[in-house]
Amino acid sequence: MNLRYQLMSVGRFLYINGLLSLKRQTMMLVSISLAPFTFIYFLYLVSPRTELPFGVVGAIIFTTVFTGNAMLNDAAYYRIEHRIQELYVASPIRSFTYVAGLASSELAFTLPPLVVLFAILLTVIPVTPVQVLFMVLVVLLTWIMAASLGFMVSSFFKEFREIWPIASLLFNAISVIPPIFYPITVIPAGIRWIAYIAPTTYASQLGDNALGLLHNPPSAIYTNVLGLLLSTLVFVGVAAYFTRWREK
Amino acid sequence: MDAIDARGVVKIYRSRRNSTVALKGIDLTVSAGQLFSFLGRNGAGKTTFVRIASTLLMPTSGSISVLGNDVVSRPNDARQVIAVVPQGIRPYWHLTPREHIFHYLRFRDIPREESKSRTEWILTDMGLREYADTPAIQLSGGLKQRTMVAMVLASTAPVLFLDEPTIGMDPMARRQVWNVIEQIRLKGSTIFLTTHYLDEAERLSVELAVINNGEILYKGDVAGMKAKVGAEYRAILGKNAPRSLLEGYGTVVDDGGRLLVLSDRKSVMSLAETASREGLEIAVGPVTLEEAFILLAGGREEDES
Repeated sequence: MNLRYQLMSVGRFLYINGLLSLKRQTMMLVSISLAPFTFIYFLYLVSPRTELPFGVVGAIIFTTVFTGNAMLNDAAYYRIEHRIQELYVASPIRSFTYVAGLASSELAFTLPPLVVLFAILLTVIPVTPVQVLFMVLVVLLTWIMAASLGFMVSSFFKEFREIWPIASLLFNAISVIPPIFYPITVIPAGIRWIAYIAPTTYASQLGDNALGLLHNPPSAIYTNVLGLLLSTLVFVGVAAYFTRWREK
Repeated sequence: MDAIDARGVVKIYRSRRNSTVALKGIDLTVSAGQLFSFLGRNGAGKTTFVRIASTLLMPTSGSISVLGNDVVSRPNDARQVIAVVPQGIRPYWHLTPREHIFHYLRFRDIPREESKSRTEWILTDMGLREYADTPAIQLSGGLKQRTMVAMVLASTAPVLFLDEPTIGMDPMARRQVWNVIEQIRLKGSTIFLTTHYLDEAERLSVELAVINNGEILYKGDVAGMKAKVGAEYRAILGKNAPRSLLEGYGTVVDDGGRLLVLSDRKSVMSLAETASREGLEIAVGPVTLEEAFILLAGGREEDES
């Protein structure tokens, strides 16, 4: 089947898994928004006002990474519990189309809180249109990285009930513990490299540098761009290699 | 060209602790345009075979082609001509039967207007019209299953794999599904059906195969399988009926909670008169596929998944 058909199918997955599901279960929006907005609220209460933009950038990254967590759960749910993935495997739909469709659906859920977070960002610091565009690109790369990771990990499970502790551990490890809601300068310089094990660190550092929250030389931005690009490519590649479309 | 051509298909499930041989070199051909039933006990290997033939699972060795497309080396070509109702499939909670069917057809690249008309046709013929706009979460188990079967049948793909499609449906719903399956077969699709309902297999298929413990026990037509019983009629009696009384009338088979007596028409009628005099409950009739299946596959031990 041609590219147009595959792209139309991605759009159809977005519509049925994302938009229709969102329309019929709007409470999901509250659930998704709860954690990032709670973090911002606590930062607002306990930290100096100058730290708040770090929290907003962190909330944007955290919310985007949530698509990976949702992807892990939904992909496993549709494969193991519903067995509906098998309908698509035994059809002209390609694995990439299915993954891209699910990833787009997850983004549909996180898009409303992301729009609100971008609006908050504009109110807490002066931001140029170029900086906003840059943040949008960071969000897109982070989304691709997180969704690939989520789908790949989901394909290793045979029992659905095994998933939630792993998903919770994995996504907290990459979206709460690294310097996402706080500046990386809080971490002692000697062990700062540990933070870069998490690919989300590149995303948040990129955001912080691009918005002028950190005053690093341009080389730091290039390093972060490279880090985020590379980790996205690695996760997409690893996902494409390890993902089990047909069982062995 | 055969719709399905399987040669020496072996499947071994390996885990850290052990390995299980699910299929032991299956050879099977199914002619195009036929409804072929694949019967077997739980764990006999039916689903494993369907999953391999429908490109969901890799075989350990051997080959299967669907309309000439090898499912291992050319899965994407095979996927253009197949559709499958997997065992235990469940719908999206938030979509209605109409949405499920319409979007599935669009996923198969069937034009919008054609998808719409097929959706309305199958909703009517599968008895789903009353529930067409009810989200699946509010449907009963049988209606959910009917929705999933309707999606796949509406595709009228050249080869349809139906793995226990009528499970959980009431008798009327099963008949509605049978009628649609028959319509689709008449339009030219090949249908590969696994089922535990032997009346379903007898009603729908001419050719069938019985698998047990990963091996084909029988392949041929329904009449040939019934002939294997070696009797035309059967009587069914309760477990408490004295065997000594029954043995003079034909072959007595212990069928779990009941006894079967297999014989010719005259002997079975004579047994019915005797049972009536003795106050025993008895049901008589021609031999069905069920008796043939019990004799063929019954008593053989279940193993593997």
